Amino acid sequence: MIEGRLVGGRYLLLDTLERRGFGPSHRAEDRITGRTVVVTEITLPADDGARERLLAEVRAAGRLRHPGVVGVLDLITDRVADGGMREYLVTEHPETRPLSRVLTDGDPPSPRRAAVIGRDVLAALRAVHAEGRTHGGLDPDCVLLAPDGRGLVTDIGLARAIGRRATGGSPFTPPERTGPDGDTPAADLWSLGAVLHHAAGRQAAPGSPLDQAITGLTAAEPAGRIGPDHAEALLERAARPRPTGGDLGRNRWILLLAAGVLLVAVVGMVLWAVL
Amino acid sequence: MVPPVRAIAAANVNGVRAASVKGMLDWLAATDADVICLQEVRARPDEVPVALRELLDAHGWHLRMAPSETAKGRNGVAVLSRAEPEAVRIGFGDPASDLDGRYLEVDLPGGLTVASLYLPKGVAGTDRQDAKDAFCKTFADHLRTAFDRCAVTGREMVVAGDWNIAPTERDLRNWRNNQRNSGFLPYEREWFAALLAHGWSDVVRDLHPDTDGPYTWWTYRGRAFDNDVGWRIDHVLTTPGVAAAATGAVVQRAASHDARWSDHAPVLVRLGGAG
Repeated sequence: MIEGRLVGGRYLLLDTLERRGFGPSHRAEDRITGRTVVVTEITLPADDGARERLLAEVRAAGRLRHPGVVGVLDLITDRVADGGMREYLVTEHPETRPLSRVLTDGDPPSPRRAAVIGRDVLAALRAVHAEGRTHGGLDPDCVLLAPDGRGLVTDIGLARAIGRRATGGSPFTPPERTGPDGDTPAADLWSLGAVLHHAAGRQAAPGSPLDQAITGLTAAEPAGRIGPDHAEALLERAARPRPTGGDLGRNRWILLLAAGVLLVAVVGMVLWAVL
Repeated sequence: MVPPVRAIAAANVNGVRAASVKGMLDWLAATDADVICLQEVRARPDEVPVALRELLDAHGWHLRMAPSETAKGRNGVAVLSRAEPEAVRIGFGDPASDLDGRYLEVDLPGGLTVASLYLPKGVAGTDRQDAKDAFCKTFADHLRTAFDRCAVTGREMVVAGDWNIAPTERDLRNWRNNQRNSGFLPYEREWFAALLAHGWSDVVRDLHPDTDGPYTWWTYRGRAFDNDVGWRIDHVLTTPGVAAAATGAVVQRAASHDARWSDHAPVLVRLGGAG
């Protein structure tokens, strides 16, 4: 049992989280601030530059401030039970569930809900891209869903840092990511399209804004993909609540009929009065 | 519209690493198919044998793979195409099955979408059959939507692979003894028939309407292959434009038991009118 351990002399591990992530993740208490955080145990590859890569990614991610990005707080090296050393990444702990778990539990989001998630993830990715960085490994495990419906993004740069380089074949790995120049914002957007396809692609009506967004984001050639502005507009449209009972949309024909009857009645009364 | 493809093949390779040393490479080098849908690949992209990689490179094939993310070394589908795909989609937007390595869809130049399918095997009266039935239910929705979408957009589509269903009594030798076995259950046949009723064409059956078989799978046990006691469970379903262009279909049965490189035989459909 790892729970109850104090990592880095500061973070008390409380329980294990349900994310697969990049290693075992734990809810933990920061003994200094009293905040609840997430501590993820990361096993680095054997190469000499691995820790420097991880540090560089953590520093870059730590500078990001965006409501859709899970904040990175700390990186600690500590000893594990077998005597070896491990890296522990400390991040914020928003009340969320990973999209991967939501889908595994057989509770896929509706197309509109998926569009809301997609819109939030896109906004977070754009913030990452604006800093000259990329996520580099977006998949349903990196997309976290808050109780209020917001989507958040985590694990920015981690896939790159720990050398989990794509070999292709993952549903969320864009075709170009296996190549040397494949780590681009467009590649992140392809992954977003693939995540949306996985989460709600079957439910998206052909030709609907969500369907167009998925198709446009996941074209094989980066040049053939829609850009973030276009994707945002499509997801915004797809995320709009549909008119429900009582709104004009659902009862349009009844309302038009009633208006027509009323108009005829008024005209009839006017004519009757005049004549 | 006739898609710019001369021939499409489907082959359950029963493990690409084993098949590559048994004779699959010779078949691949000799085939005149432009698109090949592979099933039971059972390998990740970095596990594809070097000899196969070299052959694909030498013949200008593009390989797109969907290995199983949920059961390593099992399932796995792939599409080989002479033309580079314009888009690749793993799964059909169904969180319950997308990561199982059962469905991969590519858009090819010229308005043709090709999908490689490995429909789950079942065992009547068990959880495996329940899983197969659940897959079929959602997959039928996808196929109906995809067909209707093609009718609107003018694209053509082919879904080729191991369907694990023999649609009629003509499609397995011992049909009387198998009426309670998965793959020939009455409701499975009705499910397949409903796809045809919706408009999908079983082109091999269309081109061989009055023959038993041609079978595509024979158990390795006993003398099933020598006595041609087989099942026709590998199918090429198409939209009407492709069906109208189909000029021939053949099951490329091995010359002898020893010459087999899989327990299935490739199915090849030739299309006329293309360059």
